[in-house]
Amino acid sequence: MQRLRAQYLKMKSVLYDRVTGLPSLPLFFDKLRTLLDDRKEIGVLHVEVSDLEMVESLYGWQVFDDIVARVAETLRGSLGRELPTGSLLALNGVAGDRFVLFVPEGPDGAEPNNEFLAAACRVVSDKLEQAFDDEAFAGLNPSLCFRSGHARLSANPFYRFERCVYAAVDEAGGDHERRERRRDLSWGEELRSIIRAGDVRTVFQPVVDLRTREVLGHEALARGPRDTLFETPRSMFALSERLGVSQELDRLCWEAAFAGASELPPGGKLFLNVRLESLDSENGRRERFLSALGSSGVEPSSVVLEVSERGAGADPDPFVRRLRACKHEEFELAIDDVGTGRAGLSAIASIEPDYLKIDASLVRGIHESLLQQEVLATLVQLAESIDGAVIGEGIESEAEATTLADGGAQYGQGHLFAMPTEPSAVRLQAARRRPREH
Amino acid sequence: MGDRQRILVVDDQQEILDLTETVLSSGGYSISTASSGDEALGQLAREPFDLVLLDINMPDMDGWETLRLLRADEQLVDVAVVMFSVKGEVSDKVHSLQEGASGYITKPFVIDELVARVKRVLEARQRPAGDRPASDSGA
Repeated sequence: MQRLRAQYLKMKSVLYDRVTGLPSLPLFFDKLRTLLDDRKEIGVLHVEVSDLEMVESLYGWQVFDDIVARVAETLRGSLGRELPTGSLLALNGVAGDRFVLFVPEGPDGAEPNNEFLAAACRVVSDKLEQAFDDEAFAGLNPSLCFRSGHARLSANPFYRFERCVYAAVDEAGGDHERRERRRDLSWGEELRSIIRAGDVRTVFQPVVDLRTREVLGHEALARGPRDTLFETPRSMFALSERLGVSQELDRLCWEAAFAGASELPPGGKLFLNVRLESLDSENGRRERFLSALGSSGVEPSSVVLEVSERGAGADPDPFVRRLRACKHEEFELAIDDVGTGRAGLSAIASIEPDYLKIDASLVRGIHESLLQQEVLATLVQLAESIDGAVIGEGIESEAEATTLADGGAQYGQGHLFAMPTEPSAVRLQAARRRPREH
Repeated sequence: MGDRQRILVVDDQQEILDLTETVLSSGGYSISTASSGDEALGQLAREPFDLVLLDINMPDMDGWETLRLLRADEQLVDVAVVMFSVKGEVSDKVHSLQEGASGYITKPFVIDELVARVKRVLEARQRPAGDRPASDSGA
């Protein structure tokens, strides 16, 4: 009993701030996750007192504590009044200096939008100004000012939930913007010049039948300049989103893919990563794609368009609708990174893709993880119900390949079979490979 | 190992507790039940278990929170946990993976499937890592 008591107190001491009585951020993870089961997004308000750091070094920790205690009291008092009941108040950490409010509802119980959150920020700042308009704090120099910002939190299974929360808090705090602005300046120029120069090449990796090891086709993988930050598509596209040049980059990537594909052995499929936006009929994007395909000499019926489930973002409905709208009869469709996006199984089923590609993170060590095998079973079941096939990505061992095959996956891709290579090397590989003997 | 393996089933619905207790006892396991996360943690503190079947959707302390608190206890960090839920979404299974669960069963479950899963999870725990087979048939 004593041991339990001591442990309890230890926990309490690191999770609750003694001065304000407020819980620290981690205490809300479970509650937030539950709230997000019923909603797509929750509002996040971040309240900072500046220049608190300076105040503490000039006037000492007791003054700091007094200020923080009053902020906590004021914010607590606004719950159910200026802020909706059901809003949660936390401190960024024990003895922390930043306040976080989670707002699950806007007015009338609807999801909180930016206007509402911005208004809430103003109201909170005003209330704090009033609370500190007081002799006790009059002599402070630098004088206090209150900064509040907002963001929205949604759960994304690709990331650990806790980090989604931290990221939303950072974004509301504006740190996110400051860091990114610095980065954008130095990397933006580099990416823009890569796009201007068309300095993107394609390598190809085979997709094989797991049992016979026959090649079904190749996936075209974009590569930026060697040994630079932008060698992988992930880093290129992460930055291109922010700079608004994703369209150009996407086009560059598939043009390079079409050029390289002409050197592939005939008869196989071409798995091509595309962003959904490139397939929209508006702004002539779809036409541009179709005409580039037309002049490439690549057989349209051999093309499999790969769209990542992560493109679904926080709200999967438009993603699903757009994919269904652009399902072109000639092309096949593969949904990539299944299980790591927000779309959900029934949404994916309604799109009726021809292939479901399982992300490498779910394939790694699958022979030893019953839970990963269960995820595979769910996806195989889904694929069978829509007459599709499952492709496992990132296969590195025979054990993984066997587990996938036994679990019902038909195809696979990964270093076990072949590394991604230049198109000229692909023909050599094909000549050397013989169907697996049983 | 002559002793029966011990399973704790945690669910706020009595019918589920009754059903799983009946099914699993006849499989040769020793079953205890708890109808809340709190009760489960209390039982786990008092006696050792080999496996916990944990419902996700419970009022007050839900399955995720119970799992986290369980994993925060050094004594319980290795207990196998299989999550139970109506949802069955892939993202919930991925979340289970991240939280260190060993399995996930979608409700309503087929009795044979439940028994088979429990058996596999317990067998996997007993085998040292190097001995695990390269494939599991009948997934």
